[in-house]
Amino acid sequence: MQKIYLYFLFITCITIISCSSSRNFSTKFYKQHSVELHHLVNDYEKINTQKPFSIAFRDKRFNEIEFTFNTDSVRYVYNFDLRYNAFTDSLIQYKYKLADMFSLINKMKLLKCTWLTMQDYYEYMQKKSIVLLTIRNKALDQYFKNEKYCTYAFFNEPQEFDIRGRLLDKDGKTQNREISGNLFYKIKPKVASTIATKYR
Amino acid sequence: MHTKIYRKILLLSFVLVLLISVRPSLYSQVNHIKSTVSETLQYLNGVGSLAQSEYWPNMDPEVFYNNLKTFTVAPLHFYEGSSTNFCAYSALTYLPLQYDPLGFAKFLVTLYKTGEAKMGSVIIKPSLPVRQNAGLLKYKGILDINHAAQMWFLSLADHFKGYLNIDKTYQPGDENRMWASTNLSKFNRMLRQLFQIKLESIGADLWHPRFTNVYTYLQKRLQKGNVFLYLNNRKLNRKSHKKNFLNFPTHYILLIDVKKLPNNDIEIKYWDYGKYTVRQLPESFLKKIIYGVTSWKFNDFY
Repeated sequence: MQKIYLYFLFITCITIISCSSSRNFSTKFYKQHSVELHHLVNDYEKINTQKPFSIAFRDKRFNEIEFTFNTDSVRYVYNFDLRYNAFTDSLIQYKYKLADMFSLINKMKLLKCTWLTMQDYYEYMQKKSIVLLTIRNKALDQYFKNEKYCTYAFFNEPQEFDIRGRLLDKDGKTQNREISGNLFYKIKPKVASTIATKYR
Repeated sequence: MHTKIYRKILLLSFVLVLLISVRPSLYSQVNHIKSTVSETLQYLNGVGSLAQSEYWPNMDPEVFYNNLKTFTVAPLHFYEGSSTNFCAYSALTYLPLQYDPLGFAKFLVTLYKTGEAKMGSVIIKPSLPVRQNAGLLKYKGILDINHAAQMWFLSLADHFKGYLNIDKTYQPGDENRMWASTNLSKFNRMLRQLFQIKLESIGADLWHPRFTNVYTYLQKRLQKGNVFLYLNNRKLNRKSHKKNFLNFPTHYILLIDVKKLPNNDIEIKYWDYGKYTVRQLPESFLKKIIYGVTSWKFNDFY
């Protein structure tokens, strides 16, 4: 009978541990890697202002890449395996600087960044942009839950947050601002993060 | 004498038959264009500035008017908003934007001024919650500042209902939920009733159509007219690394072009989210993600 109780206790403990909050991860990870994260964002912004693009890694080993070349009227979405030359050939065709792009991709791999893009949003009818960067990390894997991702939003100017640290809409300062349907929490005045089941 | 008359009659009937047979193909490229950009701009200039509508209290008249002009000048930038369920409404908007911008502008102006308007065989009269919330949608990208598109999308979602729309009354945030979703038969119904066109449609909400050759099929359909695809966007634009066991269609696109590549992959060009997208996909993958194909012939318009 005691054995049954022990089993029950063991299972309950595992369930509780696996269901624990993963929100602390984003703050910890940011503190540990803030320099690398900001370098990555700066490098991305530099290349993106000349030729807009987004990158997604589609596999766990960070070999398969989904690269989106954005023009004014067309987005070209291509899948590449980084172990072959097709990606390099396409970068040359679209006139990207190879050294800059591969340095960016290596930084993404080191941080386990699965998604990097720039998104527009509107404030007081004015267009503004944010860089969204998603991290995939084993610390966010939980046995009884779906895999989770940590997404950071890098703003160009300080944002408003409520008492609980949730990103606020600047227009009314009462409504929480959502990005891609997710609530974001304060890391720094210009940086916010969220934990979600989707990386983009 | 008689033979001469017979010859003349024969010749005339031959010419007549020739004219009749040639006529549809001669007109097929122009018959479906109901109005032009210049006519629409002329109409909008005539409308001038609009007053605040009593039916749409949160819509800015100046923003609305500018939106109408943008629709006319840059129709392909029409954007359904991020994380909404407006893709079906956006895909079908290609038809009025391309072939009847004047009719579309007149419809929206009437809807704005009177709170109801007729398009095709349908009178659209949006409910109070919809009218109160148009102009207030936020965090949807450029849709935030496109009050005319907000009004159009919300009105269509409010009027047309399918079996997926269990929730019939709009509440803020419903644009992202099942309230706005569209199943294939609802999509076809909207096209038929709004634009009064004859459709050819295959597929269903839960199973794929059978293609012997998907490339040839789509190419043939494209030669005749516009083609809409109902597909599984979770597979096309993967958002997580885990395998999806639940497969069902989630997105509508307007197919623009299809090409066979030397490596047997298929390159598709389609229109959604205010832009054209070009993608190269294996044929088997394309078959797997397509759940519905709806098309219409150009000369079957109106």
